[in-house]
Parts: sequence; C-alpha cells; structure tokens
Amino acid sequence: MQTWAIRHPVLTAGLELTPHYLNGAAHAADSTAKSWDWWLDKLLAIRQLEDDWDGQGSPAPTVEVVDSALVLAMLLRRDGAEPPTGIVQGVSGEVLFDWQSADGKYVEVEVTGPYEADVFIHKAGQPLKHVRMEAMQRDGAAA
Amino acid sequence: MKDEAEPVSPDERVVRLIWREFLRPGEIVPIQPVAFKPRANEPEGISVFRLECMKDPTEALAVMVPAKRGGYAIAVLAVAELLALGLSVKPAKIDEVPGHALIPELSIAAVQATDANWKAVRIALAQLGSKNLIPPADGNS
Repeated sequence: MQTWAIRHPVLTAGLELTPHYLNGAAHAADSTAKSWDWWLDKLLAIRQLEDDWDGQGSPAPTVEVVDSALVLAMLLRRDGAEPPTGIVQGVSGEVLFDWQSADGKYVEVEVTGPYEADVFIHKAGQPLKHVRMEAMQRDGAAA
Repeated sequence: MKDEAEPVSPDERVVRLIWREFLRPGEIVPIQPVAFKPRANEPEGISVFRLECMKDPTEALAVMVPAKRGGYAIAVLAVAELLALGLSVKPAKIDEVPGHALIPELSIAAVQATDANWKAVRIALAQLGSKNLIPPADGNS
C-alpha cells in the first residue's frame, strides 16, 4: 500500500508552509478548522467531476489522484499547516493546491499521480524552487 | 479591424479564456497559473485571440459550447509583455472565431519535457492576465 513519502512532522516545513498557530491569534483555530473542512469538501466535489468539465475536453482527475490529494490535505491539516488559498482540478487530470501570502510567497502543490506531486515555491526576486514528492510503501520502502 | 492573416505585431493585445475556478481575486497570483497550461486540445500551443481582429473581447467565447461560455473570464494580455517573457504569438485561423492564434512555446510537448521551467512563465502570465480581466458572466465560484 502506498502513501506520501514525506511524513509528519516534516511535511509542513518541507513545503515551506506557515503553521496556523504562528499566523494569528488563538481564536483563529476555529476558522482554520472550518476552512480545511471546506477544502476537504471541495476535494470530494472534484472526486465527482466528469471529463470535459470545462467544455474543452479536460479530463477529470482519477479517483486515485483525488484520494492522494485528500490524504495530503489531511496530513497537512494534522501537521498544523495553514489552509490553502485554493484547491482546484487542473487541465491534465492533476489536482492543485496553492498557498499565497502577503509577503509575495506562492506555493503550489500539483498532485499528478497516486502519491506523486510536484511542489513549486515562488518568492519574489528568487528562482522558482521545485521539489518532487513521491510515493513510498507503508513499510518505508520506495515505491 | 486587423486582417487575421497578418503577422501579430508587438502593439497588439490578445485574450485568453480563463475557467472561473482558476480565479483568485485579491491574491498575489490572481489567476491559477494552470490557466496557461496547454490542454489536450491545444497540442501546438495555448490558444489566444487577437483583440484587434474582433469587435469585442467577448467574441472569443463563441469558441465554447453555449452552456460553458458563462463560466469563463477573459484576460487581456499585451503582446509586448508576452514577447518580453520569451514567448511568441502566431496566427492560427479557425472557423469559429476571428483572430485565433497560438503561443507555440507553451505546447504540450514543450511543457511535458520541461514543465518546471515553464511554471515561472505561467506565474508571470497569471499576474499579467489579471491586470485586465473581464469576469465570467456566471460569477467566479
């Protein structure tokens, strides 16, 4: 059985995301939980998409890709990450998470296959950073 | 209006249709960069429409089936800014809408070979496209 190779507690730091408890007052916890709930519902809606959802023939993400995105979202939530700015299906069957912050940082996670993703970290004035996330077997062996 | 057979000049503008779920109003990157990634129906490069060959930017929506037209925003981009990113715009006539053109550097083959290299360009396009954006008729959610 496969899962994400990067695990708690490294995940949030690896994606250079801000833990929500460092990004506001304690009362933000409730809104953070609600926001993550909203995005998990969005992923469940993406799971129901059909091909040609945009009228231009774009394929719907496979159930395996969406389920990988759901597991990633739950790991990030458990890890204390800020909810994303957006989650959306891509035009090639991928699922995209993005985080944007006022300091100009843009983080995008592109789930492209079962437990496979490309992470892009963009900061103004710096080269784009690319990290590949891959699957591993639950016993820790490489997939 | 310009003849669509003429080469694209740097002083022109082009429009790109943006699916409503790719909009991020008020954010640093206000359009999801995937809006500038080639779809399966854009193997030779992403589609744009030359504003100077149309009566109105909304004319580009005619390329869509009627049920989906209201789901698209319209981003207007200056060709000079595309050239500055190392892109080009080539006329590619289609029957449905006048002024159809392609950005051949953003073809499926190019993106599959070196997608990470094109991500920064797509982020830049997303920022440029948000400067002059006509929202979708059906709202942005």
